[in-house]
Amino acid sequence: MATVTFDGASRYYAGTERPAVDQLNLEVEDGEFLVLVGPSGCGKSTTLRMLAGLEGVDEGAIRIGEREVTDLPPKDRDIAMVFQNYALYPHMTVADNIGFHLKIKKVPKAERAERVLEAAKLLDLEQYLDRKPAKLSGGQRQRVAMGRAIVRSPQVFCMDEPLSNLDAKLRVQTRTQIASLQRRLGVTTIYVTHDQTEAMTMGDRVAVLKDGLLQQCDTPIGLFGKPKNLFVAGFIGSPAMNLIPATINGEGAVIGGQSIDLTPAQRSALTGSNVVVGIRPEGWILKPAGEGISATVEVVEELGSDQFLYCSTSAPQLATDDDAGEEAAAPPPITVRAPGMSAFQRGEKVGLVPQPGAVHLFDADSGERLPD
Amino acid sequence: MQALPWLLPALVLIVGVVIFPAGYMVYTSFRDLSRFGKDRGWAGFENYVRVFGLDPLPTVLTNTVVWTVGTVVVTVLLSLVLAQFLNKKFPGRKVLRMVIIVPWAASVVMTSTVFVYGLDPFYGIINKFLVDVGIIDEPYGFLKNATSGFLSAMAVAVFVSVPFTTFVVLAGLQTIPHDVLEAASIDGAGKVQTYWSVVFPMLRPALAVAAIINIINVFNSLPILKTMTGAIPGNDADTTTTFMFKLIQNDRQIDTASALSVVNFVVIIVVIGVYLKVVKPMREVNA
Amino acid sequence: MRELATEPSPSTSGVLDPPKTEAGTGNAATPRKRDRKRWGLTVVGSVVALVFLAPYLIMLSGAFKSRQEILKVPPEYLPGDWKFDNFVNMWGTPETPLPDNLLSTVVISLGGTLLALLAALPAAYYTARHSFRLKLPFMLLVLITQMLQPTVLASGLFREFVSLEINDTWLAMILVNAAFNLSFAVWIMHSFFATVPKEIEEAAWLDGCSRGQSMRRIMLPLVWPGIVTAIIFTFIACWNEFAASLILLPTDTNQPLTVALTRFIGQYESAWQYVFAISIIGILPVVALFAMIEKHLVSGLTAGGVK
Repeated sequence: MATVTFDGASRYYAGTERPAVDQLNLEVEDGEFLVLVGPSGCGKSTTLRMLAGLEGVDEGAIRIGEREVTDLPPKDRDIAMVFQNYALYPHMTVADNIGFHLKIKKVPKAERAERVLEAAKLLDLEQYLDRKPAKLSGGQRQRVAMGRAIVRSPQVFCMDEPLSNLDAKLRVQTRTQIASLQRRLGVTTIYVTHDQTEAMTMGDRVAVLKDGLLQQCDTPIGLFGKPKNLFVAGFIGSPAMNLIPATINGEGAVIGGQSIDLTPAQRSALTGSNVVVGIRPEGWILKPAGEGISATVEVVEELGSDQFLYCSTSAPQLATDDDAGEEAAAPPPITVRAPGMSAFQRGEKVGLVPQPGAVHLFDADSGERLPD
Repeated sequence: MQALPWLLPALVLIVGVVIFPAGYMVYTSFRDLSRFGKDRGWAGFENYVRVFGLDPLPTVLTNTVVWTVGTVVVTVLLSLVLAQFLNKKFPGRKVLRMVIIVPWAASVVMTSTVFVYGLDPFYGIINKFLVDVGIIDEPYGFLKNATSGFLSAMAVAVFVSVPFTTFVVLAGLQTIPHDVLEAASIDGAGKVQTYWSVVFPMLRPALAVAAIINIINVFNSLPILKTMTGAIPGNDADTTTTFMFKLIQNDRQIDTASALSVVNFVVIIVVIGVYLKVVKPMREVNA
Repeated sequence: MRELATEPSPSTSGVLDPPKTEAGTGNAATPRKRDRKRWGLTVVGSVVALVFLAPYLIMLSGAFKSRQEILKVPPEYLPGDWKFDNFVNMWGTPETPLPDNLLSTVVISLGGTLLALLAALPAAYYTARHSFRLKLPFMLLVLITQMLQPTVLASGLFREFVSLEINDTWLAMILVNAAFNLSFAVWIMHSFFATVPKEIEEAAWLDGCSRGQSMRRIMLPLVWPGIVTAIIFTFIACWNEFAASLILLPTDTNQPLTVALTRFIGQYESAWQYVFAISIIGILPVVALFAMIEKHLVSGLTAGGVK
């Protein structure tokens, strides 16, 4: 077990201007479960593969514990990896798959068998030890891939979207199993996913990447409570935070007739005269029509425990990049959480008031969070 | 450059045994060589002039076209029928597949030698069989004159080409999804209509591959004509390939033969060009 | 969907729709009628099989005939007196040194196959795993060599080997066979390597394998069918090679069986019984090997042209 350090690590691909991973600085604690999350193409898998030695490091360094591994071949890094497609050896039985590393390391046969069995017990695979991967279900294959990693007691686990090939229900189950297994084994783990729910539920800390750049690395609560910029604010949380552009008018930012005051520190940190106000769906107080921002309920999404109202307002949301081309498209509606089984109807007029303390302010030009 | 050590053995072999001899052949075609291989200097286009001035050349060229086009067309037609047949399910289908492999796997010289024996007018068993079943009245010396010998050789060329062609067409047939055929039958297409409007168009890529590979093989084929009509005097049953071999072997005219080979080579390069253009075999290789 | 095909109307369950055995779905008469049709196809199939086997049956019968019997006018279909000792006597005939010819064929075939494999394997692996600027030109070059044949380059090959002073040697034929069969070997093994996800190999490296170990323990077992196909196909092609040997191997002791065979056929007298006995020996092993790789052949020979 060990810490993992990325020290200005960069990776360039031939034929592209922008590095796939750009000057990454990241410290992973011993025994920590760190999740790398971001949209596809953000460099999260490349980061993981650089650590595993499957991808070269063009600048900077990577250390495991005190050991510099930047130029070591994968076999000498003492890292186990779980791949998205599991990468089980099709011509070997489950037992041989799990025990392959031990065999390569010339661990005596008896000890090997014992450790394979131990891992198999942990993962409920005992009765499948003699089968070939082709005869296993998706979930079983995933567990064999896990078994292959844990049997080694490596310094670091790397997991590259290990749940994305499972169906939704199994994914949720396995998510919890992997998290508790990791805590029990205490092995430093780097886990890559594009699913922010997975990231938030599993990680001790979550590192958000975009375009090869680290946006923010914090605990799930830190990310959720104080997103560092507009991208993190929009990416973390489901349904996503409402991001409403506003202009500074006197002391505050005005949205839909409501003024939100800015502190002097916030005002002096601002680079232009535009801000973006971020309010999560649960950050609104619902009032009768006429108070606050006037809104019309367009869609009611009933989840039982919660209800989400999608409202059109006079304060349209920030258009996302995807809609940039379509002029006629209506601005995205404001999402508001209401208690489950509320009596809201489509077409109903309501008023929206931001809860005190639930307002996130961002500089519209730089995208950065304004100081609290 | 990292790729080089991996590709080097293959490249050395290709360059040394394919590209270099091709270049050497072109070079030789412009040299004046003695019968014993002594290089007597630059010859300009003399060898080409000699090739195009050879008396048998018009016959040989006509033969080559008839040989290649005739054999390939008949082969493809027969293979279409045979592949359709093999695509059905019936007891013994697997055995038939294995049997059809035999002429494909067997040495072409050995196969055509049987026909030389079987078509002999005196002791030939094929002649006897044809008489016994009443197709001909008395044994005929199929390989004793150029015309019938040439046609017999074409039949043998078809015989040895059909297996490969059939398997390619069969592979093509098996890529046609079943629901397309069902859709055609729902649309009210009959058997013949379905074949011509659905199956045949979808077979076109397979047919293009089969046809072009066959054109190359048949055009280059030496053993069939060599064994079957090689004993007939003159060049009335020669193609450019067998004619070229006679120039090397009997007349030891390496320079003239090289000029003729270059002409053959150009023909083949054109066919390969057509192949690459029509079939686009490289589309699965992502660079 | 199957219901449509099992309707009594013959037009829907026609040529294109091989009926599967599914008694019970149609009415009672249909399965029996279909059964009769299927056996009818078997009869047609038997005739087709006979046509394709006929030359080889003639060969087999002729191999056991005596010299007098095989030249008898009119001929008989089957030997009257089965001469098994043709298979013994042929080795000592004056026409050609047959033991040397067999040795030639074996040495040239083994050597050509080995060389082709050694050259093709690394190229197939690398092109399946890596992208590089010259990959397409390289694969194109390989494809073009498949289209070229020794016949068209015969005079160039002859001149080259004379200059190198390896004319009339096994080495010359090993080189020719390896080079002209390289492309099939590269393509078939390339396509097998390409089906193994690169993560499997990466998993092996992370499991502690060196490149050599992952090749030996993981990759080779997985692409083994492709390698076997390449080996067998190349071996057969070398075994049957005729045109280049004819030009490049003038000495009778160096010639392979295919060329030696033609020496038995004289202008006036031919030892057909030996021709056929040799042919049987030349064809049987090759057909058996060929049958083993049949299902991979089309894809390798058409090199991506037919899926």
